[in-house]
Amino acid sequence: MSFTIARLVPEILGLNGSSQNASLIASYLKHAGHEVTIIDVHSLETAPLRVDAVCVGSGSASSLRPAASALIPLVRFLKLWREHGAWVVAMGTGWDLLGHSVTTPDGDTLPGAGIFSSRADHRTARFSGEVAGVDYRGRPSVGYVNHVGEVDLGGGAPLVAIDAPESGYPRNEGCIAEGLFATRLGGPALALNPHWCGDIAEGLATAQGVTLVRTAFHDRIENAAQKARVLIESRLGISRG
Amino acid sequence: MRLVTGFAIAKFVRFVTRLRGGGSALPGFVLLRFVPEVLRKSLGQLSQGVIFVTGSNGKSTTTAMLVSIFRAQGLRVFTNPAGGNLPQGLASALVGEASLRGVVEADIAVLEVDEAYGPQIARRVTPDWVLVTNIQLDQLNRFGDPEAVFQMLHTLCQEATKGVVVNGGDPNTRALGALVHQEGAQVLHTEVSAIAQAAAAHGLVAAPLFFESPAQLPNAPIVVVNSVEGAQVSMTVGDTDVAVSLPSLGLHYAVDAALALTMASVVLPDLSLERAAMALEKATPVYGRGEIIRYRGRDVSLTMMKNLPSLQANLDAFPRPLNNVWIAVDEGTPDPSWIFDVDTRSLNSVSYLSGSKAWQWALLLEHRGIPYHSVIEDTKAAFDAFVSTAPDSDLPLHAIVNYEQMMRIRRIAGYKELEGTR
Repeated sequence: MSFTIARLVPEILGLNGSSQNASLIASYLKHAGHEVTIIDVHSLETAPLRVDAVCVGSGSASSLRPAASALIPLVRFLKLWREHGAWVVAMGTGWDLLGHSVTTPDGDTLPGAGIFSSRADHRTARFSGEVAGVDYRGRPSVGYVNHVGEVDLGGGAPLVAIDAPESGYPRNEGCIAEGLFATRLGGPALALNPHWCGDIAEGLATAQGVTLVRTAFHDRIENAAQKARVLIESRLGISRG
Repeated sequence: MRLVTGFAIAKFVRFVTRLRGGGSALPGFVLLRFVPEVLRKSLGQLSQGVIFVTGSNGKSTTTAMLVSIFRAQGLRVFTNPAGGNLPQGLASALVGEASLRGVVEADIAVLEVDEAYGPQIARRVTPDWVLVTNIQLDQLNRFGDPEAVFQMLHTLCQEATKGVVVNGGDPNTRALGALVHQEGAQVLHTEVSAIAQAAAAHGLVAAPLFFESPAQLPNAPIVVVNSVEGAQVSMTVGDTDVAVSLPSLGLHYAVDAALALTMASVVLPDLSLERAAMALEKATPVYGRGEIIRYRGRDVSLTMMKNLPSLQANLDAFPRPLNNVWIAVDEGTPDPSWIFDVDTRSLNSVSYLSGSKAWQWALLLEHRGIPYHSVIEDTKAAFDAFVSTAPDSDLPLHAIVNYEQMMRIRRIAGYKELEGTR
């Protein structure tokens, strides 16, 4: 089976490894025996008619307005892709811009693409640090957050319940819904949490009517991620017995 | 009296810390507590002034090159050790170099300055010149956004009394130079030709800043990097062509050399280019930037993985794909997410991964299909395994390490001297 992943404006929203989540999903599927094509979408001209998943990464402060300008013309395609069952995987600034709206540090409100019901507000302080918690299926999950402001999920379900609230990071992190995945965990969040990579890959495979075959590769990345996760939890003083 | 007392106590603290076998910022911290204005008192009167060298990458190398050029022209230079670029690091260097009365036998100070602490250091000693190497993605966990670094460097450049030197090959420092020129500062710059840029597979890897207007720099560049082939660099300084063979490979070292030449030729209008070129060729590589150490009978080249641009530049500069590399990284790199943006095609295989962030590297290698032998979290055990299992060869082994692991590895190999003494 072959899959197509669209990566939106990675030249603007690709900070700190965040655009590589598309490659991680592709890697997960390829090791299960499938073909995957990643298409970088910079404008309407480069947008394919059908995709199986859309990935969008995060960006720096000055990327917010150029990214919003680049994404607005693509909203029509985003909605079309969603109608055809495409997953949307959004990170940091990309998630903010695919939500309902973003309030900038100087108080302006930029309209979002409306794919997620969330509202982002960049007027509050930046959080930078490792975080750990338990995801919507009870699985330990970790990452590094380096993002400004806060998000009102607007009724959406959180992806992770964060432990160690004394860190100052909100209890609810990210957003998960049917075919929608979003997080502020920075960079290649799917590498440290291959179970999410698996969820998304399973979702794409199911939509195509195929079963995902698990290989030694998937065991190895689960093992490496588990080792990395335990070290992060240890640094945060979290023990899961 | 306070000055003499401060230096006496700080020198005693330095003596004790050195007896314990390491470098320390403690003597400088003590000196600054006694004499907060010591940097101005000791360095403010130097006949050729004070130069700050700052930026995301290349600070240490550019400083070392500039110091080497000045010394080859007969100047007496005061400088700080590589990495000792915070106020206490600068003061610690003074503790070692100055007399009890705070007198430094030097004509000029060339100071490597941390980009965030630059404005604070400028309040302690005013720079005549500020040289900015680049604004690249670096320590996002510390700075948040590269925009914050631009603002810090802008503030620092405003403190320069004579002028600013920028890297015209970096769009961000180019924009910075244009901005401070608009504000009335004298701005001088280097350029990097398209041919030279093409010498590195990924160019100079500037941080993604989105400026509203194109940056125009005044005047012609002082130095142009024409071409780079390995360590062979061709430059034009004014009307004169200069060819040098640098001790380290890569476009980024060539740009550092061009910036150092630019700064030196501005300070010394009668600069001997012949001597300057020889000084560049003899400049000792800064720790972890191509330095080779010896351990258990094997030469090991240390390449620092400071951030995405510096690691990419170093990987691009290797003449052929690397095999049997050791990668060591720990909490000194709080968020190694950026490694997933590195083009790793020059890594054929990895022997060992070590340090507390080794498993994050393992995940990258798994996804990229780059084979590795195993993860050994303990650095010493990994070092021993690395050299004992490496194939026989006269060529150095390659270690890619973060700063903290580099210092640990140097200590394990018996290199106990202060870091980066120039």
